[in-house]
Amino acid sequence: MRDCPFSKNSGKKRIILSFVILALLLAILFLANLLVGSVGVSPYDIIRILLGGTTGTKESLIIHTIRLPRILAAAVLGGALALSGFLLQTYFNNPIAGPFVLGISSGAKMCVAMVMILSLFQGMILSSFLMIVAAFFGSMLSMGFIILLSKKMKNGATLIICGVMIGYICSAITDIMVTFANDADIVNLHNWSKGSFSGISWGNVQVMVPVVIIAFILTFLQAKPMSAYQQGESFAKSVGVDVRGFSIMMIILSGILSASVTAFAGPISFLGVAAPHLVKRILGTVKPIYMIPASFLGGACFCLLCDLIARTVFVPTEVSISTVTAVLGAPIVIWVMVRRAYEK
Amino acid sequence: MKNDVIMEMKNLSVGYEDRVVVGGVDAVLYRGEILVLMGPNGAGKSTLLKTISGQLLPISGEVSLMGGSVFSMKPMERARHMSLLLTGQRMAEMMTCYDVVSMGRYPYTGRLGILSEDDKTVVAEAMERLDIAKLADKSFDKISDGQRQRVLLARALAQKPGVLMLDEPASHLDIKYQLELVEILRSLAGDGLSVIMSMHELLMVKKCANRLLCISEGRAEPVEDVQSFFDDGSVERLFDIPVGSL
Repeated sequence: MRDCPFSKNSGKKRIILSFVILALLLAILFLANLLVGSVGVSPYDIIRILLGGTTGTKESLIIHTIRLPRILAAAVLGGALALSGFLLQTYFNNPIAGPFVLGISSGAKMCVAMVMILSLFQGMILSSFLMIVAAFFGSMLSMGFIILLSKKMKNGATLIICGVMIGYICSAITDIMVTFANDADIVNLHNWSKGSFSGISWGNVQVMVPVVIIAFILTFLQAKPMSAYQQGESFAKSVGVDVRGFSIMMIILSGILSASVTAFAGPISFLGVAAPHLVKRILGTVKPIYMIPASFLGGACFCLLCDLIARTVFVPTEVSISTVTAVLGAPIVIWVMVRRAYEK
Repeated sequence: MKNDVIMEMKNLSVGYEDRVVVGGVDAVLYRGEILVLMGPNGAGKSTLLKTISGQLLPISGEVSLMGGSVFSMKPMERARHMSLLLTGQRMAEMMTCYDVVSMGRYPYTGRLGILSEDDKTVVAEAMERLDIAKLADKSFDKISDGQRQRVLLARALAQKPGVLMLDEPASHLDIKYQLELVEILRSLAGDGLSVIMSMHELLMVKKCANRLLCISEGRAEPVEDVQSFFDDGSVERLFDIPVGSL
């Protein structure tokens, strides 16, 4: 198919190749996460277990109840986080925007912690769905502040700094709550508030997968107005984009996506900036119609890699996922900023 | 052909909330002419442009565009009749010039914005018309200001509009690119496109305007004879400077 009579058509091949690479990477990381762990399981056993050949053994229990839900969660939530980052970067027209740097994850964390502690006092178990609702509410709280501030501040860097500050405030409030609610049950809460995929159950996965899939589809349907919005808000408006409706969709969708992550895995730092950026470099384009699925795939890969490192680097102790994403992701954020400064 | 009315403003008052910035505007735009909005800063040129392009609702009055009302048209339909080009828009990085121009097809493409063969032909024609075919694969943020202006004009042409509206298109350009821009606009007007724009550069206005709409102190006065407007001291009076100081 002829894309442009003047173009050498190299773009399309590169995009197809990028998707193939990302899919392969995802498959490899999926298998690696399945194989590696504190209890060694041979590849042969894994195939047998996955095909349902052996049940009831210790290995099959580990694979079925611990590793598989964890891997699925890391992939789905990593994808959701990267997609949320891409939406925020497009909406704020700022390449270093993301749910973590804008304080949105921390807002979600604060609300989830609040609801968790309240439910502990009541002696009831929090449902997965309620956690997402609480996280979404918290996301919207931070997002509301950020949007108010973005109207006042045209400088992208100050917006990010405000986001980081909002993040600190929310984290401080969360810490206070966690400290005062010091109780045996809180240990779990403490782990979660640092960011972790340990303790993810099939029940969690059953809730997060449909939520993320629906959000993904709705995001994909916004690909066209997003592409116009990339050329400026006034331009988008002039070619017929309902900018108001579009903005609301962007805010709600990025909120749902990052809220699902925070509800189950706590705040995960920098992945939302780093993954879309790397993907953009691989694809060589920012067209939303490609970037939406590719960010999701890239985020899934990035998150699986980070979780693999988090689980294995200091065996038997597990590092929090945010520690790993920060070490790998923050330098990428710095690189983005330096590159932009250099280009100007 | 030459006297077809493309756009008409009838007793139009523009402004924000209840504050009228420019009131009682009656003006027409003919096919293939260049109408320049002139006036001091803050007189309301941008507000008027925003209103007649449908971005801002009027306080009262009507603007008809090719028979329909600008304000009751669906935004996508309006975008097929007019292109609006604003300067100083922040664009995302990593877009090729072809990507930018093809976005002009926005009001014509389907749900996912995929270009049909017809759309691609229109985009190619627009790029050839502005002599930027060779820039197709170049990144939009790595070309010169003049080239960027051409790419944005090609995007506006890809909308297949009857009216092209520009807000201060020359303000970021040096004199060479300003002259180039004026040449392009004149040649587009020669093809039958109507151009309406605000412009500060008097030399350029003199070179390209067929008629003027002078905006000051809340009023808009049409000027038919551009040459004598510059010669008889009217231009100095418009900007409130001593006659003969230009």
